Amino acid sequence: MTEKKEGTKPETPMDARIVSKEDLIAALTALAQDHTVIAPVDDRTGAVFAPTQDAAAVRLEYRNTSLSPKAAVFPQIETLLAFQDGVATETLPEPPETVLFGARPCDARALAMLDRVFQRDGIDDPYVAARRDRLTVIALACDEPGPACFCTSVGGAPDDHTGADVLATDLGEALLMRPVTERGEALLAALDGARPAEAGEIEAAQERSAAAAEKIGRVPVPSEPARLLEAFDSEIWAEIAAGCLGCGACTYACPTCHCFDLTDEHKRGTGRRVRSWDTCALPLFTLHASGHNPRPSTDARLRQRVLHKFAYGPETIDEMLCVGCGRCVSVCPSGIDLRRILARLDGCIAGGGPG
Amino acid sequence: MTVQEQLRHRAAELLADGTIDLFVGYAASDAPLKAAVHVARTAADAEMLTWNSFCAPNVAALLPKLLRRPDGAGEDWAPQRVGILAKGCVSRSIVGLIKAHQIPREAVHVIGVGCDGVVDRHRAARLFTPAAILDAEPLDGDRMLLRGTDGAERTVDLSEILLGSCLDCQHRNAVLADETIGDPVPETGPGPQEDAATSFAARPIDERWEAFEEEISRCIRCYACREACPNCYCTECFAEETEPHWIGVTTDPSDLMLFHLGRAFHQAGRCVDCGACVAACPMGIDLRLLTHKVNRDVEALFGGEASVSLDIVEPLLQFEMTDDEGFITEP
Repeated sequence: MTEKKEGTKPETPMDARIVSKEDLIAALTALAQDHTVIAPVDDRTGAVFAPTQDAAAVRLEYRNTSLSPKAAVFPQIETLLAFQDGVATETLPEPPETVLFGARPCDARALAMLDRVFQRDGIDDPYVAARRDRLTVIALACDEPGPACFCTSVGGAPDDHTGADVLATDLGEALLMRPVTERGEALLAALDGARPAEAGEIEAAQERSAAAAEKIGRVPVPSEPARLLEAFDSEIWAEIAAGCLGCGACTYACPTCHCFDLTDEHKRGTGRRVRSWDTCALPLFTLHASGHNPRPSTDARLRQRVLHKFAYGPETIDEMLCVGCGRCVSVCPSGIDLRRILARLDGCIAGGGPG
Repeated sequence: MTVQEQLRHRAAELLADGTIDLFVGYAASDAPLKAAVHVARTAADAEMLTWNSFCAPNVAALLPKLLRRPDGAGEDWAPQRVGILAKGCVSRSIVGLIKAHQIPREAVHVIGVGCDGVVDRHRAARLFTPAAILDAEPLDGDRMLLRGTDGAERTVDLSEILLGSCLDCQHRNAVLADETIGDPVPETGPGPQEDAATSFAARPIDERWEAFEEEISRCIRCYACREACPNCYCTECFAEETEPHWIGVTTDPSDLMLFHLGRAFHQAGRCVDCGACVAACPMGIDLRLLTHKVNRDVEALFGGEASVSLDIVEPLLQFEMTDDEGFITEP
């Protein structure tokens, strides 16, 4: 159903290395000298991805963060143009080389999806590309899935390496680090204290991930995305969205949601054009200047979110735009659960059409 | 019958006999420490209703949307009849909405229920960091068994994981109800927030400003706090108005401050301190830092609590010719 990101090479266990946790912290400290290092650090909500100078503060044990690390390539707020005396100038970012350490495989896979979204139809979003081109992703395999995780139902796995340059697995005292791309290979080659992994260690990592996969609940995911459109006019959307309060928490927390708004902030010819995350959950999203809104209700807006992920994603980028991280489930203030929505849709379609 | 059984039974009866068209309450969630907002239209839907210490959302927030007169509705339009499960704070929000003419009294049928407080999932989660909570099981005697993703089990007192609002709650029972289920629960006095607010107020102004700035710097402008709040019934929020454009779309400190100060001021004298905004915030922002303060200010200046009775008109909703106008400065 899903294909691995092009340009990644198949796993070659020969290249796998073992790095002690001490050496890893030393390596991240060294990297932070001339790179931006984004990593999970302590937060009142558990952990957050944040640029950090202090590698000792980096967490290796954490559950999915409230927000995904998508802001590393697609920040919530970005200035696209600067206006000065009526003249507009592109403000392309020139970010430093950046290492995203500790992204879970679902989040790394989401970055690969965003690549395909922002590099489509011959258009390569230069703002996103500038960050992506300078980004090295070290994914950290999951060994303790969270209560809302369902990556295995949407083509992911606790040790999926899609979107990553290096896949790391915590083996207790040390990490097994497997290069996925040439960029990852180069990073590992320069890593002090690393030694080649032994077959037993690679096996141990596989066992950990297999055990993690066992703990992840399964969700019925539509096998024929196009058939979801049969349910477009179904009454089930009103039922599904009955408790929806209409905030944007699910979309902002989502690692693959990528809609944005453009706003000009200027006074007398001076100011800027800002790109900001937008959300289909809010009524303003598709409000026309005429006052007409093609998605006038929470039902229609929630339907849009679900169908964008599971029907339109397969159409436009050949993939469902969902990596099963479960964040939308965790953050929803009214307890709406995408897993239940999928089960409901499955029943609706399997049951001979829209209800 | 347990309270939950009574709830299901009564909701089903009210739906069946036509007293109401739908019932707003809570259903069980598959996610730990949460309940789902649930709208029941049939007896089968009513069977899914639940009542427990995870019922954090303030379901009164749904009422204005359910009962709002649609654009272009004719003379013969009549609102649906909505049944609703109301813990103390929800009932106060209903009182507030009725007095603000956002919902007609006769359109709601309120089932009151005594509440011992609801769980703050962020607070509970902090007990398990870096693991996550996998599931939770209420035990007798105000305790709860929590299980972590790391296999750890921990029994906690509810007071360790309840919303701050609940620890401070002084209206645990419905202040407005057409009927009640279960026994009333004892009311308690002010809780820890009073001390927290007092010690916060005692800090120098620049420290308070810094703390405020840091707190709101977490905001991602998702508006979960706003949408979860029964008081935020405006069809167009100042935060999204484009003419005039009061506030930018960014997460720059100035935009965040404007949003949160604007939100807090709009709550003055109206906030029932239900904690739904705190429960809704995905970033764990302490939104009560401001609302608690404006509540106390209004109480100190004008007296009275917001929305405890249909018969009292809140200070900021009334006007008298003898009102002091000394605050109006000369042009």
